[in-house]
Amino acid sequence: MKFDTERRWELIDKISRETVNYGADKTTLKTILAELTVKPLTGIPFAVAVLYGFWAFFNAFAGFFTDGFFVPFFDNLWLPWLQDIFPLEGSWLYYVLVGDPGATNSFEAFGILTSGMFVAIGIVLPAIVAFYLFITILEDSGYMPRLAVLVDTILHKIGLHGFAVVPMILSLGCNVPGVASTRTLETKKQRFMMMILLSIFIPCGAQLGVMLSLIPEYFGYIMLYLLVGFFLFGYLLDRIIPGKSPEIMTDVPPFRLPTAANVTRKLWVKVKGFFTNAIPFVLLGVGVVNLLYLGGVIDWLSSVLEPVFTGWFGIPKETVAPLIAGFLRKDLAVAQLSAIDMTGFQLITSVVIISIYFPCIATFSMIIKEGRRSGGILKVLGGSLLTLSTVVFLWGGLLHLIGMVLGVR
Amino acid sequence: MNQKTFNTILALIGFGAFISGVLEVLFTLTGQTFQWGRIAFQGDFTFWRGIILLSSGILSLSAIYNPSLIEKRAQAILASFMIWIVGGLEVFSTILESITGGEDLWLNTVQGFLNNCVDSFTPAVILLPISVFLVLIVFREERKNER
Amino acid sequence: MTILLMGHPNVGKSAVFNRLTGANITESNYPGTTVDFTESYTFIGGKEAKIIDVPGTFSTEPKDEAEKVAMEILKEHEDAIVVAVLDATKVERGLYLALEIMEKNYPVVIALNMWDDAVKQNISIDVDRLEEILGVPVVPTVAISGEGISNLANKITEASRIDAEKLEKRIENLQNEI
Ligand SMILES: Nc1nc2c(ncn2[C@@H]2O[C@H](COP(=O)(O)OP(=O)(O)OP(=O)(O)O)[C@@H](O)[C@H]2O)c(=O)[nH]1
Ligand SMILES: [Mg+2]
Repeated sequence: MKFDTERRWELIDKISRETVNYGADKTTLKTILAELTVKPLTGIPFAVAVLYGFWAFFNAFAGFFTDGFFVPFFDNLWLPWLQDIFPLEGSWLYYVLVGDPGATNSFEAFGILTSGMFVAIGIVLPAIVAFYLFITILEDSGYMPRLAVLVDTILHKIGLHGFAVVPMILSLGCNVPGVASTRTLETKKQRFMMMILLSIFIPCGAQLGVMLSLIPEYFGYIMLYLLVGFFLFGYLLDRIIPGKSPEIMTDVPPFRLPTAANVTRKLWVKVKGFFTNAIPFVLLGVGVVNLLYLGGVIDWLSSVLEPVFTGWFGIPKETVAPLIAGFLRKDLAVAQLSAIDMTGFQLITSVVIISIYFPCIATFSMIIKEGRRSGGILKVLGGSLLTLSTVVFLWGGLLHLIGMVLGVR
Repeated sequence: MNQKTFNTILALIGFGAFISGVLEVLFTLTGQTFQWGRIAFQGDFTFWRGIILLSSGILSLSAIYNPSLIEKRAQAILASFMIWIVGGLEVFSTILESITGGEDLWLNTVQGFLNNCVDSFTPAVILLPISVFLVLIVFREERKNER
Repeated sequence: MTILLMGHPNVGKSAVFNRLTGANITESNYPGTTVDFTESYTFIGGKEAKIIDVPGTFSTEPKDEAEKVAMEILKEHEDAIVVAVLDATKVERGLYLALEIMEKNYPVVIALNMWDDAVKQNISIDVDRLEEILGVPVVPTVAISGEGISNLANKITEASRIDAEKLEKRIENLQNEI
């Protein structure tokens, strides 16, 4: 036998009256504090403080490990040692593994064991540890959903509705769980929109970390351009795609002090994941690019794509190699871009293009997996590729145009 | 604790934060740095730090109006948390910076570490202990009331 | 034996799962952390049991993909025991889902999780009386510290199916007693 909804509530009401006794209702300091963090007037300054906190923490932490220890280690010990003991100088194997024999720093040697290891361990590892520590504290304290509510309130004030902010924040850690979390959205349209927008416009923690470490002076511009793109294309997609995008209710949990045990456990799982899933891809990325160089493929691709690159996007053709590495790891691609000789504006443009031209493989397979659950694989895949190519050409080209109009180089 | 002491502390942090915030913003906008004793108005991201201190100051000062209201006390706590973030992270990063030894040293000497730590600091570091004190007493009071 | 952990989002299902099985799945303080299921094995009453952490769901009528996953799992495991995890500070909400599952004729145990929060908020729940009325075991738990978890594991074998009509009568009779 089954009850209907109303009857069920009636019964529950009776049970609870018999068994549950709520103490005197008190407004506590904690509940008021919690409210203050979502009210724009008090919440925005606090959110700015939290973001500043992240930035300061990241700088101190990643700077400590990267500049303080890894740079001297890789440049003064590791690289000279490898160049010294590695046989077969001049062979293709040497080129792939060690790279440029005359390099004086690990960053510009471009070998798997030199640049690959340095980028993976020296730059990205400290960056993602700092990043995930921060995200974990956001998640466990209960501030994250509050930040989402605050951002949502602001978006509504400027006329943007139906954006799912929690998946956005999660994507800043890694796009894969971000895409997975769109499962909590109600309609297929909303899921599709958020999946595609997240994977195109939101750089993941590893990429953010490399950008903050290597090109901090351009970080703000790149993020601004990506976020504007996120909301603009979100607005457009919302008009174009048929279907509904209902309001998203975020259930706000109470504030809790994050427990050290849970924070370290989650951090540990992620760091382990980085060693098993990410580092091999970084090394593979360096290897693939080096082999393609040796095979002449990169030079050929560069000259074929040169009109598009220099003509449409306004970036040098050398950026083809990082773009290929970017299929595997965006963080590696950004690191490689920063080593190429180009103007600041070209660097901004090429990092923007690296971010939007294709989701990394892990994210892409997640989209395929999720597509099966929401509206059919072909529809989702076709839709994302169409959106993707439109965005890359329009949004990437527009940046070139902006540069020309403003006269910056 | 009586209202008067509470108000005095609030006013102290409020004015302190507000004025240093305004100064930091002004110095960034005019592109100057300024040092007063060991207190330095400089560093990365001074502008945003200034904005945070400034708004923290406003929050504290407007809580003075009636600190016996729980809403106002919550506001004062929020303002103090903002100072904790700015000041606390500065202490954190100064310590980390002082541990590394620069170009050809892996670790700094103890002497070098200490010198570096007390070299100079921004106003938020001075406000930090007061704001810690404020938060502690508010929460202690709260616990007393709950009983 | 298959055991499903079900309940609203963010009530601590994954935390209970980790304590029961020693697994390491993500616990976070926001609703919608778990959107896919995870299974693991443990010993309950001397027998090996499969435990599944089901995505959070508000009712048995799914509103989104995560809830659809939850309902698929429930349907796939017709002979499973369900541990309905409730937030002890929001008993009514949780009972709604628990009742729905009991009506579907699954044997149920109720875990009143976040018991520590309830105590802090001066909420008192008469566990014995609740057990008596519902006719299923009810166990207070604090999943983050592990309190009550072994008790919960013991009670799983006592999970029982209920007769909805009798339950309704028992509830109706409550008022007469008062
Ligand atoms: N105080 C307290 N906190 C708890 C307890 N159990 C879990 N938590 C915390 O509550 C939050 C949610 O726990 P989860 O286990 O992630 O919740 P869930 O039910 O799996 O949530 P979803 O996966 O989103 O459906 C986490 O921050 C836990 O640390 C408890 O008994 N007491
Ligand atoms: Mg969970």
